[in-house]
Amino acid sequence: MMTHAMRVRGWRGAAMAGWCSAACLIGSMPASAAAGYQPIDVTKGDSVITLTGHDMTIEQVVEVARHGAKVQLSPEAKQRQADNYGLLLEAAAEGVSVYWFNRGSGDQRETVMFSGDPLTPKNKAYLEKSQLMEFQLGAIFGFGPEVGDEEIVRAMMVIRANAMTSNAPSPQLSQMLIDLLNHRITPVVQSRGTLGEGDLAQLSNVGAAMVGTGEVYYQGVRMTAADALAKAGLKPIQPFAADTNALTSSDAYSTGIAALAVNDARQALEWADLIYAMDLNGMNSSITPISTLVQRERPFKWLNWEAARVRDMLKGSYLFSDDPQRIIQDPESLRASSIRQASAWADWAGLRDAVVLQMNSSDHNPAVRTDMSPGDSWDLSTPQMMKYYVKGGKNSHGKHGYIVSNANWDPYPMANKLEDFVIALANMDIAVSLRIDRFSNPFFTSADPAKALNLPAGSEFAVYLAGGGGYTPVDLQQEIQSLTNPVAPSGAAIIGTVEDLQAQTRIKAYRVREAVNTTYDLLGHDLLNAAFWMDVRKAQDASRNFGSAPTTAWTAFRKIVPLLPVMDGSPMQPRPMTAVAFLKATPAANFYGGGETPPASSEKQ
Amino acid sequence: MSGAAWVLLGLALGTSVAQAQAGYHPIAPTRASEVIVLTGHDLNVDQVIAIARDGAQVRFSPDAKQRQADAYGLLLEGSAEGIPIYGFNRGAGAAREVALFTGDPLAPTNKALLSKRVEKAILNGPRQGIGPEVADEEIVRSLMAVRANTLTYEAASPALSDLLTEMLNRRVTPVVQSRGSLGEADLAALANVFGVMGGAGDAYYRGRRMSAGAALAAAGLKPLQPADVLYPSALISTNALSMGQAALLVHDAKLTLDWADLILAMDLEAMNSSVTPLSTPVQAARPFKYSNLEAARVLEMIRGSYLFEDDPKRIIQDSESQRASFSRQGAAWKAWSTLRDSLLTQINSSDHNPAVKVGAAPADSWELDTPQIAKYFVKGGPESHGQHGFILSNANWDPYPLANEVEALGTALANMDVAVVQRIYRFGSTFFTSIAPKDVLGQDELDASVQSDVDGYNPTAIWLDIQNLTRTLTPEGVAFSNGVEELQAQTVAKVTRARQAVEDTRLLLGEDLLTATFWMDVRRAQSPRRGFGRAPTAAWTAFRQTIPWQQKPQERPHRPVGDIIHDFMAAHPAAEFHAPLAQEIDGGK
Repeated sequence: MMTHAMRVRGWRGAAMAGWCSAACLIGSMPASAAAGYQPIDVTKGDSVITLTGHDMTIEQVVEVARHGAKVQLSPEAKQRQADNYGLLLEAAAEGVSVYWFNRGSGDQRETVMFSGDPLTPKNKAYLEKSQLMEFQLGAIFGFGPEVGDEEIVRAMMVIRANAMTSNAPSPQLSQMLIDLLNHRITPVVQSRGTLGEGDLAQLSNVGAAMVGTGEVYYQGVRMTAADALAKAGLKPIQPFAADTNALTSSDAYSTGIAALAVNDARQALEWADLIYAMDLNGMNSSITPISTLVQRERPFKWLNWEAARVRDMLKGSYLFSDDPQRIIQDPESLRASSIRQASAWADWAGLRDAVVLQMNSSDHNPAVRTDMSPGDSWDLSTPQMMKYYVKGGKNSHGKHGYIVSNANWDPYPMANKLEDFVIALANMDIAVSLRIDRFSNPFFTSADPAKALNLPAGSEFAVYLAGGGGYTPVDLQQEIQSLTNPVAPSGAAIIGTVEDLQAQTRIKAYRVREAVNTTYDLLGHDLLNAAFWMDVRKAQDASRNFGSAPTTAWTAFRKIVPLLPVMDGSPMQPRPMTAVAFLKATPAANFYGGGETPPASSEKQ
Repeated sequence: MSGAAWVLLGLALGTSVAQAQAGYHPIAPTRASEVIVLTGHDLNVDQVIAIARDGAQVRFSPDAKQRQADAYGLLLEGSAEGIPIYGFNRGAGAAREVALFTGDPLAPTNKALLSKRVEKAILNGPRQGIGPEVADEEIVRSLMAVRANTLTYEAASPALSDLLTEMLNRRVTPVVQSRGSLGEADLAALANVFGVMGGAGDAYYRGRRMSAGAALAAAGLKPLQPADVLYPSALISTNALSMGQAALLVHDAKLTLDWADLILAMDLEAMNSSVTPLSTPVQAARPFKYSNLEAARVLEMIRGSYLFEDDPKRIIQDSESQRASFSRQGAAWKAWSTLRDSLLTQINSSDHNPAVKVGAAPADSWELDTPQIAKYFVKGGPESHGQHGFILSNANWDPYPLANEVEALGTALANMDVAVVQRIYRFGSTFFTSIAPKDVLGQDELDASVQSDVDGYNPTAIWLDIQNLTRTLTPEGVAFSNGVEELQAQTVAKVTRARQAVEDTRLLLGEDLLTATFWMDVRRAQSPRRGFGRAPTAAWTAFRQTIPWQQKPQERPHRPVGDIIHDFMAAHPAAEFHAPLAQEIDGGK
């Protein structure tokens, strides 16, 4: 199985890069080769997405991360950030203890780092020096291999830029994150070293680039961060106040991977539905399981929606005509596919909602809330909470508020939802892999494909290769099975045992990415098989119709992949791989855009 | 053959000598005077518990009774009209296209043939499945209760449905084998029940094991006459074994999560925690519904506590496990609530193949009006008293999304429990507690108190079991029956494991409770004027009735303290000590 690590990056490249990152701190090294790096394809460089902090969509993340759209902050978001920054400075001036600012972090939570106003010359000098050093050292955080997909690093950056509007970064930090995205300066980021709650290492790698340390890809070309900033006409920033904390205390890396996976999973599931409709045509199936009556018997909203969708795709198909040869019911996999796919949709929706909320809220510690007052809730006026009340003054332009420690870094329920989705996907994929194989048995198909297609004797092997069955779908399905076991929940007590809980969201999110990719691979086989059997059914009886969506998808697919393997000198590659490339390049929505609105997921009810 | 003869046959088969009852857990029928009306569409979890665990009685609503009688009529009529019906006039599994008989099932030859088939099914009933036997009467009764409710959608003859409810009401509880289901259609378990209904096999009558015939007779019931129940599949093709247990799971998980919330509040008191993670501004920054509900709930429990007073010794933030517990517990409630909603749909709908829908007409939907589906339209005639409808093959036996949601609850519980086990151990370090117990307690007091296991094995030992129980099952597709039966859902196994994980979570929380109560006493000794929230105070006080704060070692019971706490928690639901759940969580009841 191709592991996440192999997919992300080759090991040799990782070691080289790690060495360079360290070396770059003390001098400069020639940029190492960028072989295997997957830069993005900038197709939406003219679009500008406005980040408000509360309404970013998965599609917008994809536009920025994968297609190079630009970003800007809304005036309100910009103001909120500025107010929070003022409140942070004011808090320290008023003597309020602020975690990871005038107090240390982790087990240093009670250690006083400085006291009084951060803007006094002495404190200012200390903060500028210590913040700059922390940003520079960010280049040697984490552990390889490097993240090999530019889209993942950009997804992390845009999600951080959006959620950071609820925190207290300095204006220069906030602006630089936007600038890096818009100029396409994509820092080299190490894939490992986060515990999935607080992706400190990955965001620190980004921070290093902001001060001109370490390496980046500038418009897809690897170079030192200093060179890239110069080429883009940007100056390294002087971080201040609690900027290390503002940038790095976030789950944006895991959430970014998750957001991309949510997008890709939707497209895979849309294809699963359409290919299932093609399979039913291919099998000459009995469609009673998806009929209205049967669906009313089990009023699960996603199940009913899925059945209605597939029914609608099949409208006009020969499956609704009488056929004395048609068998009363299909094998279980074909009958239950709509249920398994619907259940995958249900968990997909749960994951989507969790990811969307995660990237539009604060996952930061401490929470900075300008304008909140003791009268807003009973707990806020108690002596314990009043310790964290900032009355307001010069630094905050008179504004008051609270700055309080918390556990908002713990990305639940999203962490569970990632695992739930893989389980649901695997419980769907078992049905997909089985339904492919059932076509190999005339006990179900009642047909001899070679005879129906009028192929010469000795065509068995060509027929075998024409469909999608055989070893590979089982191999793929078993690969997916291996991803379903949840990552063992763990609580390694570290950092003076203060940090005693992990969420492993990075591992969980990469597993979703992997499971979705492999599901695509499996569906490529399913499509090849379904299309082949549609040809067989048509050859059996030329008057047969398949319904509009299955017909157009089948026709489009046949333009790419012919019915039988051809030896015409064109490049040879496994036909299922061509099918997968077709699936990824051609959204199922091109063929079926109708159907009922999907149910709201449980989170929204 | 008469019913009495069937009983005799059962006796002759060697089941007359009741086997030993060791290890069987009969129920305590504390609510036997209650009657729950089964309508098929509004059975709730508390009612399943009342029937299964507390012996409540059941009866069908008139509508529900009529619906199944009508469906039975439609089934007979469908066959009389020549409609192919899976598992009735056509075979099952690979024999799906084999015609078993043609024409009117009540025609003398057909009726004789069908009766013979039913006789065989009865005799084969006790031979189905794999042991060990289900040892908890409540599980078998939950199966029967769920099946009785969903049976109202099936073509069950009046004799069949009446006997099922009477067996519940008179406490004839069949011996059921625990294994042999693939988690989609618990055929073996239901076949065991059907056997007993026909007088074959063994049953427990009011907790005493005897032959099925003897149990029915003792209860004043007669075994089924084969001719009165020509379609046993109505009873048998269902997921009721999984769903009955899933109802027990949902009920018990709620009690456990309730305790988790209360014990978390007590832990905060015990740690002299900083409550900021639960506070309004923090919660507003991350508007996840269940996290917010959980934080509000725990905050309310500790309202009035010393934690809201100023204390210069209080640390700015606790360990991660203590701080994030509410987030993990909120996520567990979310998974629980999703499962609960699915379960309610599952136990109030049909999971049977084929679907028998009386009154449905071709004009109801476009696809019903096509030649393919019209093949399964029953026009109506004498057997159905003129009623029409459809009988359609399907995949309603596939219990998704519930099967996934059971595993999701396991995942969420494990991700909660890892925080629980960690927060227990953090009490072992003054880096978090600021003081050691010996700083405020004399040696005599320390010796006379039952201390928590913060340096011991127990919390970890239980946690390791939970880790093991919450691994997911590999999705499977073993093809048999000529490849027709090729997909498994493993729901029984999933539910059984989740129930054990809930039970182990309660044990782990018991360790947590011991730690919390000990440290609440330490905090009180540190400063006697300290007040705790209302709910933690009430629970702590009640707990001290069972595990006294000061008791000489030689006076303590000779059994593991964890067992004693387990019994305390079972006897005292957390709801005794604090306000009920937020409406949003409890909504689906």
